[in-house]
Amino acid sequence: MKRRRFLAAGCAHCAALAPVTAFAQAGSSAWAAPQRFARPDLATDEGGLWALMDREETRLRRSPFVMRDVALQDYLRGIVCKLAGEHCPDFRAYAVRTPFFNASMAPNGMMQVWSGLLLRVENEAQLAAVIGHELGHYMQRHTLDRLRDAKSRSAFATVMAAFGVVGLVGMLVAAAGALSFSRDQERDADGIGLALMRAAGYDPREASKVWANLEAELTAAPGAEANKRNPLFATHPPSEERKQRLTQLAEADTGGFTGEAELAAVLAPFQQDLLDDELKRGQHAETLALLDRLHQRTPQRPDLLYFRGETRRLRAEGDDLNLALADFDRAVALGREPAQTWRSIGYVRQKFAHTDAARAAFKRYLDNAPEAPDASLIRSYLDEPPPAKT
Amino acid sequence: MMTTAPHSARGAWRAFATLLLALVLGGCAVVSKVSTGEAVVRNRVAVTVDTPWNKFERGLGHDIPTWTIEGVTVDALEFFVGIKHGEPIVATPSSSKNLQPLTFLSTMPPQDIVALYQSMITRDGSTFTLDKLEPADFLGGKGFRFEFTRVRKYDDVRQRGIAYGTVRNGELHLISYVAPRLGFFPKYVGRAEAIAKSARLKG
Amino acid sequence: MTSSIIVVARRTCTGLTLCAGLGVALFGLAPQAAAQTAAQTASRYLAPGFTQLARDQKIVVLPPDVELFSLSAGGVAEPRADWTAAALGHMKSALAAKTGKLGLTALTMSDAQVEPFAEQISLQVAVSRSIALHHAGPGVWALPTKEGRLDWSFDDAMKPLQAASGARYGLFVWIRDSYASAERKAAMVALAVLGVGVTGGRQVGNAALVDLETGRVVWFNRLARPSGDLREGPAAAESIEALLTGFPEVR
Repeated sequence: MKRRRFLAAGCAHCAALAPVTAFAQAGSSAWAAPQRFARPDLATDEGGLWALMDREETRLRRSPFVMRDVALQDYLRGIVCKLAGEHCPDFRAYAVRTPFFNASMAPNGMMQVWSGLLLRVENEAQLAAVIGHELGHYMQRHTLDRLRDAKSRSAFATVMAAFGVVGLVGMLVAAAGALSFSRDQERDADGIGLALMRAAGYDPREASKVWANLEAELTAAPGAEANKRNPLFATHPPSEERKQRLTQLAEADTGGFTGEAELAAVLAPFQQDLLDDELKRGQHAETLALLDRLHQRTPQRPDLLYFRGETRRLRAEGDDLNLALADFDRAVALGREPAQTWRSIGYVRQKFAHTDAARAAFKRYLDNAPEAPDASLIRSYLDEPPPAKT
Repeated sequence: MMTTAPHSARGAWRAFATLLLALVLGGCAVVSKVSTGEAVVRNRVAVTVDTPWNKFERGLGHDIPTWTIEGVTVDALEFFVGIKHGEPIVATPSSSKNLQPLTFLSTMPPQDIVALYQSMITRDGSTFTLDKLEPADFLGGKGFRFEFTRVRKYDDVRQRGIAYGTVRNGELHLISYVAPRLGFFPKYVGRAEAIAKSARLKG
Repeated sequence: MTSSIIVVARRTCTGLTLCAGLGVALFGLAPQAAAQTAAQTASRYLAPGFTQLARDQKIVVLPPDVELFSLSAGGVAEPRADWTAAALGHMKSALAAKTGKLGLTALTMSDAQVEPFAEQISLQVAVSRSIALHHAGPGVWALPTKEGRLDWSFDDAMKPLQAASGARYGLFVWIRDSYASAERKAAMVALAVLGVGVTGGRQVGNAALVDLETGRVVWFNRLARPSGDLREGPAAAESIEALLTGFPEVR
């Protein structure tokens, strides 16, 4: 078919990977990946869905939200190919800049990974766990089943939302409800995801950590309940059951590739943007939970300290301002701190009426970032500091 | 909707009118004309209007007075008036449980108010890029002005925006104008800016 | 039925665009306008002062944005790729025939050719939604400053499209059509946000003729009716006729 040839041509390095067609692992039931899917007949419901996804993909390709960095896209597709074996040529991978945790695999092979997810996974293996899980749904055609299922039929539009058509927060939440796979399907996808990870050489023990981490964020906000739908994780609500199941399935595993450095290298150019997107959600408690975790893993990163401090400065409750200042000072001590650190120090000093320190900090900010969008505002503080607020 | 029975004819009419409004318009909004001259928003902010506008007094489902020239899907001049310390800049959608409200604090410097505005505007997945933030006179006193670019998630439309804001007696007042960057923003930003610059507090 | 839709509308009416989309869809329920005077008709479809197209002017027909759905017993609109593909084909033929009959030179552009103009196209969709809502629908949404006139313009924004296509005018078409086999549920109001006809078995759409040089929308029509079948040739031609109601004369 014309389409297959085109796709195969686009996935040059996939040919070098050994096709994996069967997974018989000790401790798990034998599961064989299906053969590659042929494009369904246009007249079938699957065909209709496929064609609709094709049109959405056309729109997605033109969308300003796609992160067009070639290295990033190649990296994502590389992971899919490692996991998916001979299915590799059927996928296109898109990184989408949206601060929600989401990855999806449409029945036509369109894969999306949202930047909120990229920010949260700690290494390549965890990213592979989520992608592998989506591959499980894909290979077992779960999405089509859900659409055929009477229960989710009344919410077709919300299904589209899950694949990134409409980004309204409310829709995401509703989408999660509509598209939520049955427990059997989730169990299936988890098992297959792990099997794919194992076969590709990843450390399967990383999978359960993804959900453990998400859970911590979910329960961080005051009044939050773990079982209430949070738009941040609308399409992948973490659950105790899933976490335990994944831990159990990986009990016998003793090692594997984690790829912390590899992921860090690919994401390095985007960290500032992704962290800023997260900060600007205005959900301080959740952001702090995330940043605490990330900082604990990589205490040498000055940008994490800046953003954690900034989150506290914005929240400004209790001892936040002092803690914020402490983080800013630590970032400066590490060196290579983001220029905005000095601006934030200036603001906190201003609050404490440490006028000289504030001015010095603002000056330092302007020295480091003379072309910043708010340069003229900061300069006005140096020319004429605003009166102290009561 | 009405928890107590109205006690007077006027009360009954007002209750009925409110109900009628809500029913007929599906809880969205009614459009009326803003003629040239003086206009007052929320009984607090007076502005000079040089060209006519269309207004949605109750906003579009979010209770923020909104004016437009070309229509609800194209351009919007929004008036955030008298937001008090501890109040959200805009109500959190009821469909989003577990979302913390976007609360204004009167101690916020301009940059943090911009961050608050950004949080609001990106809540639906839209992007926001701050292009400029500078001090400016607003409402007859010191305030700030910012420019931004936004891509609307819903339909990928690229927009540009400007806004003026200030904190006066612990209350936030902000006027923003957003329109597509092609054609509409360059054409109308002057009018929007003139309105913002003419704004003064009434009480 | 109406009240339950309004209740859902209030609950979902939380943002500018959502409210607007809902409005457009709610509008899909409104009956077509009753008989009007000739002057009223002209002002409804045509921009002020615009009555005819010169025969030697070229029109570019942008790829129509069409989606056909099947409404199952459960009230779910499932996309039908075969129907949509057929409809696209029929519409293109019908548009070509109609423009030919009018004596116009109609050019077409493929999806690949219009990709560089994604921003113009997405803008045009947004503006069309406003025209459909504020001009071509129930009076309660009319913008007083427009004074009942079709008065919208893209200014310079469409000039790149004019340069690329070589045409003076652009014809933009957007249609959502659903064919019902059973009862519809109120839950389909959610689909209305994406522009799917609400009550099922409805054809919802609009078409605009834009002067690419001045940016002016010179002709606009909104379609919202129970009938119309884009799946078959002759019926599709009839739908195009209905869609092109009030199209300016060609001289």
